[in-house]
Amino acid sequence: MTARPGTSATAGADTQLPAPTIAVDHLSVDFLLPTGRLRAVDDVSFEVNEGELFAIVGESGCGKSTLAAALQFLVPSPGRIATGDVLLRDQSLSAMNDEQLRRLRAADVAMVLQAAMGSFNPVITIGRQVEHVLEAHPQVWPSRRDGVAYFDHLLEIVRLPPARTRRSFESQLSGGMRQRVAIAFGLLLKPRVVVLDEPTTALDVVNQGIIIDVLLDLQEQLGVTVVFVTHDLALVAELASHVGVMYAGRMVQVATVDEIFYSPRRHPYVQALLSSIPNVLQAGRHARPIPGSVPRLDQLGPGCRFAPRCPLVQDRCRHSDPPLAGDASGNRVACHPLNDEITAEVSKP
Amino acid sequence: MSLLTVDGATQWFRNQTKPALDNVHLQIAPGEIVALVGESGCGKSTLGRISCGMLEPTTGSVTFDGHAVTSMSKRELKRFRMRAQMVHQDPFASLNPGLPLRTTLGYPLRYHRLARSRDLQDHLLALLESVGLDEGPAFLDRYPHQLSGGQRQRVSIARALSLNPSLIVADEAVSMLDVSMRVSLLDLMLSLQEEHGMAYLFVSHDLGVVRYFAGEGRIMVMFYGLVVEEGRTEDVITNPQHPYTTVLLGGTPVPDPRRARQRARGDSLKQAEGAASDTGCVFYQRCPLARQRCLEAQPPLLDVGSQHRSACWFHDEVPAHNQATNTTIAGTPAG
Amino acid sequence: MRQFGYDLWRILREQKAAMFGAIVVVVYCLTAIFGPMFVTVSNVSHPERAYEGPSWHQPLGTGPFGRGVLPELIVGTRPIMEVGVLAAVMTVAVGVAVGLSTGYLGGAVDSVVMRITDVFLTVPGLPLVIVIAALIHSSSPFVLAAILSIQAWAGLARAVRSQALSLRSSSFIEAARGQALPLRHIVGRQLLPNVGPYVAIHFLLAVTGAIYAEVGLFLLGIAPVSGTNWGIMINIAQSQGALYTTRSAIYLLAPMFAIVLLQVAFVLFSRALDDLFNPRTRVPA
Repeated sequence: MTARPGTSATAGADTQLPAPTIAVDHLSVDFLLPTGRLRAVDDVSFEVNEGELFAIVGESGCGKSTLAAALQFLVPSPGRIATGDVLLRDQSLSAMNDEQLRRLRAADVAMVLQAAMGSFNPVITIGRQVEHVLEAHPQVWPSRRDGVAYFDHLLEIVRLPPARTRRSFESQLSGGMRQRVAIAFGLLLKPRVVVLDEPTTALDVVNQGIIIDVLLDLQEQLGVTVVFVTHDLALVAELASHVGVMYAGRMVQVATVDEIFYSPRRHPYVQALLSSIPNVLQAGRHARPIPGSVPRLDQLGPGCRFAPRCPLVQDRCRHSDPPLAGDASGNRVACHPLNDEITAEVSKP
Repeated sequence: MSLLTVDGATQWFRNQTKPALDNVHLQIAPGEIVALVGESGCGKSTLGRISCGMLEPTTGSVTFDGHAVTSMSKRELKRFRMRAQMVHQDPFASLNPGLPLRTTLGYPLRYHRLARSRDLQDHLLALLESVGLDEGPAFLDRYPHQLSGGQRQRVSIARALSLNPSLIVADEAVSMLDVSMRVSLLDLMLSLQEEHGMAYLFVSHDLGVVRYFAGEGRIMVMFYGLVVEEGRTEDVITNPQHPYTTVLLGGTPVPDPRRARQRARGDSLKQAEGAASDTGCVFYQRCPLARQRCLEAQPPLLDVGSQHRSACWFHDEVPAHNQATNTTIAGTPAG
Repeated sequence: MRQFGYDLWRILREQKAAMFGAIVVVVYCLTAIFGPMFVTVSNVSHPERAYEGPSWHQPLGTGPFGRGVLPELIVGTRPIMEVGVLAAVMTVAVGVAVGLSTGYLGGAVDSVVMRITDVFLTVPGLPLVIVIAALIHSSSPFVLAAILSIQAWAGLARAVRSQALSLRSSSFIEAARGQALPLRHIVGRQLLPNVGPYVAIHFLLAVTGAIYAEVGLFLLGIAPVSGTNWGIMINIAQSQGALYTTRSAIYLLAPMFAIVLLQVAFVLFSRALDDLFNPRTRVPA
């Protein structure tokens, strides 16, 4: 299907692979609080190639939402992009001026917020809002009619009746319907990437299933690249092709979805997360909570952030923070004991 | 003897064409765990609120500990409400943001004379410890926004626990927490049940969580105000007898990408486009087994096994749709 | 309480405008309380010294009766602020009590009380106050304050009621009801802190509104003229032809400026209150 993520941030060196649709290069995001500076995203790098469904997974407070916002180079204050860059097809976002970024945020990297919050103007119909968007970005749809027709097409893919939906107001739609309309809006200007923050949180299981199917259909039919943020690994299994796992601001594993769920080469945190899911297919008390708690970002030590809770912990884990290192298939894990195995393999005759 | 019996409950809200609850019967024995599952709008939360006295059904009877609620005096009604406590879904909204924990937890204890002023702090600290919050006295001075979602839910549980209830209604109590946090709260509620023996009415839309929590209890599957299947949790989940139950099971995400890829995509289309039917079986429009007979009347709950009932004429055909869920433990990668 | 003071100080330090407002308000309060102890305005009239310009002896010059403008201004602060604050207290007390209770209780109580409130809302405020003040000729600050707040509480009651209505269905209130907690606790301890910011700011606005109305009454000569205050000063300035001569400009403008400065100070200070009552912005002391 698509090329696997390489181990370097920019794919320029490798002539076979096209540039990744979106690449994050040693990105760090700080929050400037009265109590000091907090690094919510710490030196994160990964790529998303065209047509992939990339999941950013982590628990609350791990920095995943901040990272998602940074994909638009837009971090809410008091946040600030400290170092690093985001590249859209090798185009650096840090080098863009305000006008270019404004256009980027609407037409190249679209964002769909959690529970479609604030996405809609409550006093005008959906159809009216579509017109406003088309007016604001005439370069994408010079013909208003074509734009609306495309929106109708999107509504059909997300399983909503087009004409009736356009005539409705936000308040007439259920939560699940609102989320689907928000997704249609996100895709209206044909962005390269659509970023979804917790697309199924606050939805019941039936609506969740609809959103999952809708996103898979959209990706198949439109070839759009999707990045979504979630804390739910089960959702990841249903939807993602590739996964980046975050813990306390760091990316601790980047791999394909099969590698995350089936490969023995798994970050201990990922293993712990998998074991903590109440699985409908298993009887009894099979799930285990993760012992300990997430460290406070202002109380981090020099070593691996997961060390206090890790079953594989060694002495050096407390002193040095392991880098993301990939094996032959591209499964990158930030763990000293696991990365020893690679060097052992590599050094085999 | 049943602790709580809700009989023939029908609930109409204003400006609605269909009742939120339609002639629903619920019974909970002391110390029992009963789960209510269904999608939003099925009436499970309404039934939950009726069960702890927050709402009186439009028609139907509610009996608590042998006493009919409608004929209770003000004092008895107060006691009923205190003995049936609710834990709400939203950890952000269920605690008063303008009050410190000390007041939220402490005032009810003092008002109901369950603790004396001089013992209050010790009592509160012990209460917090019993829900896994082993913190010092300074913790009591905190405001809800200074706590994490998981901590807030624990405080909510502590609040419910503080009045020594016989029944706790957990209304989507873990739905707004991270998946990895849910287990520890579920384990907490189960251990409290082992220790204090209260019954639980566990309302949720997530079958994974329900199977974990109510595995040894019973489950009632609801659809638009009606109970469509009920029975022991393990029976209903491993051997569903109503097509809606298989829809819910099939739609529940599991941490297994290979299985997920095998799932047929068309099902959700039918669920998205269908609505509750007005004639015949309520599930007709969305049902994969629907046929002519289903339009005639709403099927009643029929006995289909030991303590297992289903409101479907064709329940025998249902297992054909759930082979996928029966390929179980060997395939899952977790644990 | 300590947390409250700490928060207030921190917010004032951050918001310079609010700090300015707070200082001015404090100065006015001190003037109102202590001013008349140090400054007196004689009853004797010295027409030969009327409208003198500013001098060392009288920094703001003299008025139509030869009395110093600044002393009059200082002495006139107390009556104005006294009545203003009293009126605001009455407005807020009645408005909040009525609004919270009916909003929470609902039902027949709500309907009846709201109809009464509507009556008070639709009657035009200032004319009503003028008429009543003209009928009741009292110089007691309490009576005057009561007259001023006779209409003002209704608007606040309505606003607080709608807040109570929306809070009523919130989970934490439902939980409190589920624990069979008494009404006085739910209204006083659970609901009140959540409308606190709104009420506090409205209190300041009520003070400014009462001061305007009060000055208006004195200006129009409806309220009994005794002693001196800003409203009386403007009244006398008018009747003594201050509008036609520039020499009396200071006598006319000084009380006006005093009023405006106080109102602006209140408004600036009220900005800090919004932050103050929001528990999320608290930094532990």
